[in-house]
Amino acid sequence: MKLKIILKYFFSGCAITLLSITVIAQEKRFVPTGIRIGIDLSLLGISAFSSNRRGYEINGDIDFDKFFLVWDIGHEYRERISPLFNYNSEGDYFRIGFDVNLINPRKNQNNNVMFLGVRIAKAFYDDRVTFSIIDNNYVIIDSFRRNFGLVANWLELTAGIKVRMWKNLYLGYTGRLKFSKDLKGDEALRPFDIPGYGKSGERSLFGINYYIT
Amino acid sequence: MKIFGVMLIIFSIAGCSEIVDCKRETKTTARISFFKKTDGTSLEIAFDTITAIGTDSIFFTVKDSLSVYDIPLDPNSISTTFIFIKASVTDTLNLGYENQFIIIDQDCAPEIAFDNLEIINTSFDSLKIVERRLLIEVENNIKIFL
Repeated sequence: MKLKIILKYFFSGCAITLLSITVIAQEKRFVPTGIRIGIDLSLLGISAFSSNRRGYEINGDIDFDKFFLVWDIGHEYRERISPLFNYNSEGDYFRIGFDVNLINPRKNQNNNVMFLGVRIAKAFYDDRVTFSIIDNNYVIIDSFRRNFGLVANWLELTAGIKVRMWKNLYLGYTGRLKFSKDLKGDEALRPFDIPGYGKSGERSLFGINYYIT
Repeated sequence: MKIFGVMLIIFSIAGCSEIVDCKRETKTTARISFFKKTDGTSLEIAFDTITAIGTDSIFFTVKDSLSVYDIPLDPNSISTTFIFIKASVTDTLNLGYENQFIIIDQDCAPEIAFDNLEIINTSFDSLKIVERRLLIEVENNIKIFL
């Protein structure tokens, strides 16, 4: 179900992209030179070495002169274990937005990118917790709670680079300032994590992803 | 290009420099204050016992002569019925609420936060809710006039 929603947004993004290409390609310098598809190395690396966090993120961009339409699609499972509780969240997320390349495209034969950008992001996920709380007056609570169908929205300001390493292979990073988070669907359990965002209790967060494209 | 190298370092440090604050903002007790019905002044009162259905605990005894009582809500439920016994008179106060499990941080003890306090049923003649949230900073949740 969540994947269907993500795919719906993804294909809507593709449709907007194609429409944008049709419209702005009328001016020759806005004709895209190619589409870059990449993966988030940091999340893959964490998944390889951690049993408490796993996931993947695929990203892509398409250029219109010095502007880029950018999108990310990801899935993340995260578990938090302490002596008193075991919390986990799992779900899908996407981001879509624009970057502006600060390198002059006419002097940029390698298609390197040094960018500033904005994103809108959305996550669809479930979470649950099993816990023990000792209450002095009532019986010891040993129970679990869960949320289904949580939806989170947030915005991002981004900055980063993509540098051509060899032929069509690029390496780079994206630094993100995530803010303006809005979370819906929490009731008996206040969510601790949001896939693609991080700790839900933080009003704003810094994040960094390393990409191979 | 140097500025992006500096930004990379800043982003990395920002991601690592996290200070955990385990300070609680919520409480698990409702604060009840007693007032004289005649003139509205504070009333110090002692009950033989104050208990609740669902626990063997006696929260207060006749030794506690107070005008303000902090009565603990049952975190396993969405309502708690308190029983106030004084001489041959027994009064009940059934409070409803929402509760939510909160993890402040992985290194902190989790807590149950209560909110939207309401009076479901009571045998007290005159009382009112003055604050539905159960926060540490809140001075009073319910006023009872005797």
